[in-house]
Amino acid sequence: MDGQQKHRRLLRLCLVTITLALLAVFVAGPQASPPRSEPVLTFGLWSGHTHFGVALADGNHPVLGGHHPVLGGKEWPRQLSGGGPTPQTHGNLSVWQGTGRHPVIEASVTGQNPLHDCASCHEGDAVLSETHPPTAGMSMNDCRACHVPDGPLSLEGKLSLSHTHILSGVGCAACHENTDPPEDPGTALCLACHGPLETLAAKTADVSPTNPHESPHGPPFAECSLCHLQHEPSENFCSTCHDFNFNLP
Amino acid sequence: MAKGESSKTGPKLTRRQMLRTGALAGASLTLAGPATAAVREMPESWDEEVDVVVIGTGFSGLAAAFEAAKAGADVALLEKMRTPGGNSIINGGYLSVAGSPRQAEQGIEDSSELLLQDMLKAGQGLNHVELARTVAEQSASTLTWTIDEVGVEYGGMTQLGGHAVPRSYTTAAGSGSGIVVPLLERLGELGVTPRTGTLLKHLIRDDDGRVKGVMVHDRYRFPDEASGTPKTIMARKAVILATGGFGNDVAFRQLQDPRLTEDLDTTNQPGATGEAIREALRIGCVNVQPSWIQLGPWGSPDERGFGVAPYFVIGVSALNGLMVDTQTGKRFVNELADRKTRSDAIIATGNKAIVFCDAPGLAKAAESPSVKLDRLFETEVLTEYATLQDMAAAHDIPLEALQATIDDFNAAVDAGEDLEFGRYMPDDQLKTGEAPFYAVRVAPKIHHTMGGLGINADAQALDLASNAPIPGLYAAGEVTGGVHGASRLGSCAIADCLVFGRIAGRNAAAEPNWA
Ligand SMILES: Cc1cc2nc3c(=O)[nH]c(=O)nc-3n(C[C@H](O)[C@H](O)[C@H](O)COP(=O)(O)OP(=O)(O)OC[C@H]3O[C@@H](n4cnc5c(N)ncnc54)[C@H](O)[C@@H]3O)c2cc1C
Repeated sequence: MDGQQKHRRLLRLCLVTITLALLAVFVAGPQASPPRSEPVLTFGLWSGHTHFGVALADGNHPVLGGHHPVLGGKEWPRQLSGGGPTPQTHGNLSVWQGTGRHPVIEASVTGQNPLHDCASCHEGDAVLSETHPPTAGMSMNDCRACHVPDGPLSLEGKLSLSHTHILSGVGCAACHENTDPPEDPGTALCLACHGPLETLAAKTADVSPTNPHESPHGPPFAECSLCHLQHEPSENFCSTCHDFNFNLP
Repeated sequence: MAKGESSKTGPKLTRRQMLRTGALAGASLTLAGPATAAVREMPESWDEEVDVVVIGTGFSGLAAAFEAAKAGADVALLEKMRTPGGNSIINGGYLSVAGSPRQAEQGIEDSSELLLQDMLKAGQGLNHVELARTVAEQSASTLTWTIDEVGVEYGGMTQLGGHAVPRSYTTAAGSGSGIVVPLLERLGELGVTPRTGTLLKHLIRDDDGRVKGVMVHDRYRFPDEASGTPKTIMARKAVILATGGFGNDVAFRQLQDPRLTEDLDTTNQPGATGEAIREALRIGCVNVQPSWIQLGPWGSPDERGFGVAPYFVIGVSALNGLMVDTQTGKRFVNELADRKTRSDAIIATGNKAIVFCDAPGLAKAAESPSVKLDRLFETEVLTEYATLQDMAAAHDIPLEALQATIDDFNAAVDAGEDLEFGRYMPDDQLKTGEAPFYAVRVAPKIHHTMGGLGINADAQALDLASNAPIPGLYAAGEVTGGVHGASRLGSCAIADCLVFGRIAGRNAAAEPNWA
């Protein structure tokens, strides 16, 4: 109950913030989007652990392209505002754990361009350092220009996957037909972009001690959302029973 | 959560005084019908109505849901965990069948009577014979059903401890998922999808003695008992309890056997807990032989849970190798004895035992399609030793005694009889002793709860007060007691769960609609 009230408060706060932000912040105009590309699965070693990541490497949604189902033909704003990037380590950017409607999601549902302006929601949280360039209009791809996925500034584990999706142009309506309350969209929808499962399994074939995408327990244990959570930190579901130290996005 | 609070059912379902229950039970004993009275008020209105509520998505729940749906019943299939399948989906995939096509192909003579005798022997005669007989007699038709109607694919057939002859089929998938997954698919085709994250909280039994529905927690998050939204579901025909065993419920299992402390590892899934059994007992079910809890003799202390060691112990060393006490270098039990005999013997060594085989033994086992050796070699559970000396040194075994043990066993193979421990000796029994050697350390783990709710051969749950069936309540699988007596034979649980799950599903669908 407590949490719900908090979320509702947060939601109200954020809605006010975003309205103000919409008025005040300069929104970049439509620009030509780069060519479509497949969602890229990144693998590599990080901090001495075997690491596998699943993320859309391009701001352009592979299925939706520049044509968001709600936004129609509108293009995403893709302009890097501010001066040259000064990469800084983020603070705790995975703090948002709401079940209410996130203002950025709200914008994507209502058809307004999401601003991708971290500060519009995380105003008091100081999720970005003071020297971080303004994020308004940035796409996930822009973020990765500095925050190279396997590099020391990687955002894996710091940015919730819902944010990764939003910043990549995959708004909430792309996954949730009903947003009030949002239902688990199901594995088939995830695999429409990230799959098929065999492809994922092939990419994690070398993960030690066993391939997380090839469970001997069958399809019921290959549901994406058992591990890859969008609105809270992901979980290693296998570790409920096994000593598998997977490091996962 | 807000929904739950405002729901009418929540506050109305307050617990009645147990005193009142007792009084009513006493009063209704004079009636012809079932004896125990309601211990939970009927809700004024139900949030949902179906014909049959099945709780649990292991072999028994899925088989029950399949038969009920096939008979035309509207089925709600509930599961508290985030994944369906319970212990069944992680199980080893061994299914015992007496009088199977594979036995016929291999010229192995078997009968349901022989299987029953094996079950009774391992069960130390504590088995409820009619229940055990039902499983044995229907094992062959159940195998046929899994192939023809469910679409299960099998690999080989093997010999398991305590069975007089080879009779255990193995799924091609090498685990119970080879049965659970196709069952889930068939159920999907019948329009039944498991509702995961749904905890059975209460069985609702009316004053007339009938179980009429359930109260569940929707969107439950294991293991938070308070999570989720209360919701009532009316069962117009019946409720089927198929909630499995309680091997992973430290408090409940210690009530039954205080030695089974939290220090002991278990092969069971984390949700193998006893709250559903407690609830069933609360509404008047009877608990049969709950302190017979089986330890699996093939667990390894070098990994968590069931792991991969059992595949070596069952599929390789029990057939083509030996088990020795590392302190003496000697065999100490029949490697193919039933589980209780072996577990007790291993514990008596102070868990200082290894199983091993030699190179030809491993090669022979590798010919079987169901032995997944690659997984064994990926872990550190199985170790290869270039020589017998190396293996002896690594485990601190007196080498001469170990060599003598091997020589004695080879002489027994020549003689065609294991005089020392009476181990089953097939005509093609291999001798052992040719390097390299392969070994696994063993330590028994909590595996199966033989005890549980009392049922009759129609899978009806029995009433504590009257011993008569409780109208509207069926139970099947590991949540029940009596089939296996003191110790369950390997591969007999799948048979038990599928046989009684199907009986429960068919009978539930045939119940009159009380509403
Ligand atoms: C690792 C392992 C290997 C095994 N190998 C074999 C083998 O090879 N051959 C063999 O014959 N037997 C084997 N067994 C035993 C056999 O698998 C089990 O006895 C059998 O799976 C039990 O099936 P079930 O349907 O009764 O229960 P389960 O399969 O355990 O299903 C019960 C389900 O009910 C759910 N549940 C429990 N309480 C509630 C509640 N309150 N509300 C909602 N849902 C609830 C559980 O989460 C679970 O999913 C093995 C067991 C284990 C653990």
